[in-house]
Amino acid sequence: MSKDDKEKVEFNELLSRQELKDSENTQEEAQQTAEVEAERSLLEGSWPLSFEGEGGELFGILIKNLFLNILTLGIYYPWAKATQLRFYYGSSRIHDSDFQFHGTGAEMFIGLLKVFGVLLILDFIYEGILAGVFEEGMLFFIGFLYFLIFMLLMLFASVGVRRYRMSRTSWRGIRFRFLGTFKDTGILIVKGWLLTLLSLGFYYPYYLNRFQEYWISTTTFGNIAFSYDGEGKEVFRIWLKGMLLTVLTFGLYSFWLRANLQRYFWSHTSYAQASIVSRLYGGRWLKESLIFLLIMILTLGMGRAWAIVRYKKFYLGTLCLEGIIDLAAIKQAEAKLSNATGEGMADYFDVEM
Amino acid sequence: MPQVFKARFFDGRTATHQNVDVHLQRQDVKIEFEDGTSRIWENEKFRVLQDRSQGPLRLEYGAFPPEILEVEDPKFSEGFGNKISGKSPLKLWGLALLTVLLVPATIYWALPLASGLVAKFVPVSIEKQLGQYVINELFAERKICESTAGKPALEKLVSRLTPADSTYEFQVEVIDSTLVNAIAFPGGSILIFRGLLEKSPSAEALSGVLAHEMQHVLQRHGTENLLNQAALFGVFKLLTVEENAIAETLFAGVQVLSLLKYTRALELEADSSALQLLSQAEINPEEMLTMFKVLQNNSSSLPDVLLSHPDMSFRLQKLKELIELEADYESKPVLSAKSWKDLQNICQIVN
Repeated sequence: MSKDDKEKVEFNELLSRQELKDSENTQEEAQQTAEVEAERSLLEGSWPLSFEGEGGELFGILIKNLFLNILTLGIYYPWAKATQLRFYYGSSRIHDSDFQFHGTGAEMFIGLLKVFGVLLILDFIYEGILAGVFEEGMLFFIGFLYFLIFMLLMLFASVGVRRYRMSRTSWRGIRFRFLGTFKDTGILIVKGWLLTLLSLGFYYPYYLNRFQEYWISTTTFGNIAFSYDGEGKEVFRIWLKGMLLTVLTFGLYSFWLRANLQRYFWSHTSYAQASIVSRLYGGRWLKESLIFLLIMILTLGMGRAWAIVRYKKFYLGTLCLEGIIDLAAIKQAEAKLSNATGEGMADYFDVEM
Repeated sequence: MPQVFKARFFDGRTATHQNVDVHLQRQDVKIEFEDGTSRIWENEKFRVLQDRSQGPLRLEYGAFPPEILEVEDPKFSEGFGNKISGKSPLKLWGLALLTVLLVPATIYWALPLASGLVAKFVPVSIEKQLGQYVINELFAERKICESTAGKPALEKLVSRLTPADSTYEFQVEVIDSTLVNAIAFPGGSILIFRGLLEKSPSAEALSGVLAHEMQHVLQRHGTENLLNQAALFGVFKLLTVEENAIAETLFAGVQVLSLLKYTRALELEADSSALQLLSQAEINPEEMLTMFKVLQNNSSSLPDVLLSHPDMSFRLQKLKELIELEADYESKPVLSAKSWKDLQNICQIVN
């Protein structure tokens, strides 16, 4: 916490110093620089996303991580994860710049420790105290309570990991942020599932749409938030058609359903005056997934690195940003870096949204 | 004249960049902006990063949000040999080979060795709880035989075999079952099945089996095995941290084989040390051979690799060799003929 605060203070100092310097400039000078900057910072066109990483390099990273994981009996895990994420993000590119992951193994290690601490305490309370005091009927109730606590922790994990990941991701020096809260996400999920149950499942696509809307509109890059303009009834249409065809094709169509949904979600996401275009289709997706599996099977897992790189090249290759982007208008937002407990939690529960 | 590199400068405040010239001056960098101004970053004040080997070199300066300098020219990185970690392919393949060797070495040597050492420090009371737990899980509905005549005979046999300095209190129970077998549990519990009693040619022969099981307890084989299994499970969890069904199946196979091999080693150890117990208790060890022959006839005919116990004929031969080494043992009968009969009939309730 104190480190975050320190960073924040330093950042504000930096900004105020900069403002001071700016006001010292003569108006004429400022105008001149502004014109030059504007010319260079206004981008118009279409920029595909791409994955530039190479299988050989990822293989090296995976081998080194495996080795150190075994040697340290798994304690190295968070550091391993950090190096992997640095490679994945650093290899993802749009326009002329790579993304960057700034998270560190130490951060994630502390996050994991906190998670284990909480789970240990929960376990101790149950095994050491509750199980001895209460009788069977009551224990069933407590078990249910624990179930609720775990659901809450999972919620905490999914929001936490998004917060952490976004706050540690940058492009051209500008960080992403996730401003969603546990409360809002929790309400959204509980409401969504209740209505889904009550409507015998028919509300589910509307819930997906609402969730996407919340998840995307609370994500920012610099000072500008992403926006989402998908509509529930359209998602419903895609979903209904997909479910029917999935049943008719004995499940095979589920790839197309998932692709259609993701394509819809992506394509209704925009940033400032630019919008995302997705060319993710079920056929290609199924083919690439099968190739991934085939590489893994034929190489007994040794070709994992190349399979991942291939898959990432494919998936990122389906995405494209189109429109106008004013780089000068994208400003670093106030820096409040979140901690890594969510990341650890997500590791434990294996959720990633 | 120092070399000049083209670079992009990000100020950390907006997403724009400025094209700059960068000079390397020893370990510092001098940045020349288009407007003619320049700055110097001292070596100890910036970090050098490279997220992928084909990507640009990134210099970060200052606290959050840092200023960033991106240089595409690979020659630029030569000036920072000590600031970025080298990745030589030879080192990588060496590491890969080491990893491949490390896994079996861990499974076959390190884990058994470590579990053996750790098992010695597990308190007897914990072992007892553990043993009771396993017995209650595996044989929840066992029927214990304890006829009034048979029980004292069994107790006599057990106390004769128990070493004077034993930290374990043995609890031997006869279970009403046709199985020709006996099992030892951590903490001192031993189950003998009725089938074994009936097939035993003599009290001395039964003593041989009992001594073998008692040695499992005394040498903490059960606890060791349990620890080894737990550690193995941990190792496999680690190896398969990344979801991979095929690898998991493979490793599960390795796990089973390594466990079987491991328990076979423990069996041989119990055989040889059982002889010591017998000689201390002055019981004729040759009867153990007869007993093993009986067991041989009652054992299954699975191939050797798949058995948790070594092949009986192999064990018999080992035992023979050991007995011949200590030819001049003293022996006194264990039980009277009547007591032995009583023990064999311990499951029959005589009114």
